[in-house]
Amino acid sequence: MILGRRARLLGPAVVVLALGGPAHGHAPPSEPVAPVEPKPTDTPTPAVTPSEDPPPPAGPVLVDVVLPCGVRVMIAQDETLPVAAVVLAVETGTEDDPNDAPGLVHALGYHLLQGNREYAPSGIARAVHGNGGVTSLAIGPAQVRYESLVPASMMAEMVAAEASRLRAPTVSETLWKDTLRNARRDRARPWGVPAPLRASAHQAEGLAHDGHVVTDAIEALSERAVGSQLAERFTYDRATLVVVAPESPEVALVGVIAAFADLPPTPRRARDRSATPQRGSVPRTIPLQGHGGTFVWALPADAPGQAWADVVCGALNRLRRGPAEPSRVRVRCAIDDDPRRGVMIVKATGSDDPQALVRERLQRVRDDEAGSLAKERTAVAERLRQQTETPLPLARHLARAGQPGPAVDAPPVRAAPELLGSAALVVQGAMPTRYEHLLDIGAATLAIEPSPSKSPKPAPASPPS
Amino acid sequence: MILGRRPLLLSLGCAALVGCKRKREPITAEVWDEEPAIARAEAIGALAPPWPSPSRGQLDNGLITFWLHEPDSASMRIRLLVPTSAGGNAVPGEGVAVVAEHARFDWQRRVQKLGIAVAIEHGPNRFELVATGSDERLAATLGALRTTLATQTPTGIEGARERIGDQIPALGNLEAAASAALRRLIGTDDVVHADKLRGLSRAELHGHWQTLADPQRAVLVVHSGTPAESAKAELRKLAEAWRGAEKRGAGTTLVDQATARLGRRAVPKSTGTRLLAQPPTPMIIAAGGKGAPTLVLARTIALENARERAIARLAQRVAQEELDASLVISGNVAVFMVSANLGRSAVDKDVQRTVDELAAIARARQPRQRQFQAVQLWLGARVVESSLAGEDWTRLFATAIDLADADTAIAGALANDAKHQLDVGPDELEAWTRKWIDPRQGEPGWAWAAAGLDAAASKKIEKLVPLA
Repeated sequence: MILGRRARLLGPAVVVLALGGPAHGHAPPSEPVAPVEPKPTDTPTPAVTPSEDPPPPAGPVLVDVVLPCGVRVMIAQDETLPVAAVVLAVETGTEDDPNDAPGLVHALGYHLLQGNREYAPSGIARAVHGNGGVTSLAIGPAQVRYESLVPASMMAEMVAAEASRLRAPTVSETLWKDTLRNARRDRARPWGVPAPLRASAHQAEGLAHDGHVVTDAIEALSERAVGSQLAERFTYDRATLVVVAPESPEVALVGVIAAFADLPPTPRRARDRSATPQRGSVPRTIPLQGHGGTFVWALPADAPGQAWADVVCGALNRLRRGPAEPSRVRVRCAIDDDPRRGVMIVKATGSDDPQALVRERLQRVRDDEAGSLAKERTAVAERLRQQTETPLPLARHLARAGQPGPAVDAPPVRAAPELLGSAALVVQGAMPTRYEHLLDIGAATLAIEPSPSKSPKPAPASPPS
Repeated sequence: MILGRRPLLLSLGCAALVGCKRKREPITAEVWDEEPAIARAEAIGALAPPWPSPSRGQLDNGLITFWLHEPDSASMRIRLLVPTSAGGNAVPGEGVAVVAEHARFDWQRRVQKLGIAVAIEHGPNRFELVATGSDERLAATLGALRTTLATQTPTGIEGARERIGDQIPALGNLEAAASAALRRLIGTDDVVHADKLRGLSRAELHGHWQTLADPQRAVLVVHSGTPAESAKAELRKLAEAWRGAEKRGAGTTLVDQATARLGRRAVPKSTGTRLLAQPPTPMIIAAGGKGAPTLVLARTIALENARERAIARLAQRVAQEELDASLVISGNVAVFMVSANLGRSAVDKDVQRTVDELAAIARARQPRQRQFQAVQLWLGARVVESSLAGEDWTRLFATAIDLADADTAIAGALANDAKHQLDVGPDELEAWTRKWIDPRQGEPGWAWAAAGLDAAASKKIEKLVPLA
């Protein structure tokens, strides 16, 4: 449970802002992202009331600031047990692999376990284990996370370790071979839909390849090339450090600031991966053998959007068959979870016209805003609360917060439910406009069975009609 | 700095060997006996839950309750601890398994729709039923527990036997050897045998239920955002409905301390024997199971107070760095156990080597820093594991009961355990290990068993030690 105290945090937060000065802010994302503006569509306007400026939710608070060196820091308090969760999330991932070196980011992520001038290879992991803690590495399409849960007595040591991890990693031929040996053992996670379908839904070509492979091109990299790739891709200005500990956030923040104090000021460069939802009356289609009738929506790259996707998916699954629908039809929804590149998958079976079936179901969910959607909102908010009761899951969820981070003039103290998405579910009565595409079939990508005369290989996605 | 001193000194030693041509370097023991930093030791010692003193109560039916109130907690846990062999009324492992499963199943079906999950966990000398869910459902969950326990002749208990019978796992060699050694030491074990399970009559099952589901022997621990006062009415109903069996046997007295209810007080009679020394311990050759042939060495240890429990744990943690050693503490008694895989060709040498290694650890003086590292790892892992398991205060509280001498000491038992472990000096630890875990020259009281051996291996062992 988070036991933040707004009043206790406000004073030190002001100090932090003063320390940060002009460099506290962040630059715009390195790659411009089109604003998510609703466009006219042929589909009926959802029967929801946009709520752009919801009242600030009550509840636990945390510190959320960007330090001068560009690293975003989030600190929450949890006094239930004397343990601390420390997560360093770097906003890069396998979708950023160069075309000629698939698997590069995955391998580089592993190489950051090999230490630097301050830590021996696997030194951070050994220190964690020696204190009774656990540590792990998660490499996704757009985020790499170093996660640790340690006794509270080791929190400062762990913060220092994460503030050191990305600095001048040790690179040698032997260590690189060792890294690749470890990387080979890490297989890609199973996804609910094939990579080309996810890539099409997110309109991100980088998602189409297997980012966990170790190719000859990677094996052949020189020490200098590995070093320069690490320096380019794994930097603190695109990283977020999340700390959940019994210590008060203001005290913990002082330690975190000190750990990063010697890094030069840099504007924040974390990229916002939110894709502009496509608009239209029908989904874009992609031929894909064996996956015909599968609709896929790209999930927003932030926790509230993912919480809303859970709500929509749950409501779809709970929807009863309509009076005009034959008894054989089935509509099943599932979420392929990922902090930045998740997808909502809807499979419609037993119908001659899956599009019409799914469109009708989505319409019914929209129309029943006060019924099934509201019930599902409560259930998802409760599930989210339960999932984030302990430090490590809470830290993981906070690392999902939208990028690039708080604005220059944003208050450093924020409500945790706002970042986690539960505030959006509980406080707001209706689905925010920026997530409405989750109820719009025109925003989906539909896999269709390729015609027999054509090649079964996936073709490039067709433009939305 | 993460790099330890040992690798550095070792590399310096290697460089020295290369640099000079002497064939043999004088052997010098590397001992780092400096005290750990005070601040670091204090931080490690503080690795205990920050819970306030719980509300302790004893209901009219004899049930002892501990209420851990955490304001603002939206979740609750209810843990019922049921001793399995206290009070001189030992229930066989099969009976314990059926009773626990029936209680779990019945409680679960009554709270299924409330989103409450009920599970069985096993502690030393007891089983524990744990319900987890939203704090809003606290009263309803306690009410369901009341209904489950109110009956003395549960109708669905034979269904529980069927479910247990369907899930009996194939016994591994480790379990087979450990079970045989435990039976030799304390007379019982937890292994469920399919034939014995089938042989239990309905009347016997009801008898076991009445023996175990007794509020005068059980302990209830609740962690909730609701204060104990607000649940008084529900607890009163629980006391009224759950009365337990009328016949508890002559001379049965009400034990009013949870520590006494759950922990073993009487130390089982010693076997009076040592391993590969006089008087010799006959080795039990247990029926084989799955996996590699396994040897288990075990003994009971009398632990008079919390400090001795802390020393025993520290000794086990140090031994565990080199051997597969475990320690289960229940009140004044602990069972120390070491297991090792046996090769198929030189099984007699493996047996000797295991005993020698344990004896060497027992006779070694452990440097202060090594002790500190062992304590740091144990205490850190205890809280980290608890956090990963959902921050269940009731589980840690149950552990604290095992470490305390009296109910008043339970709330501070984990912190005291940490303090005692950090206080133990190398000499004190060495004296203790020489007495209790040296299998050749220490206190007699050992048992051992091997499982998974073929006839040839058994013959080799027979030349080394007498067989039981």
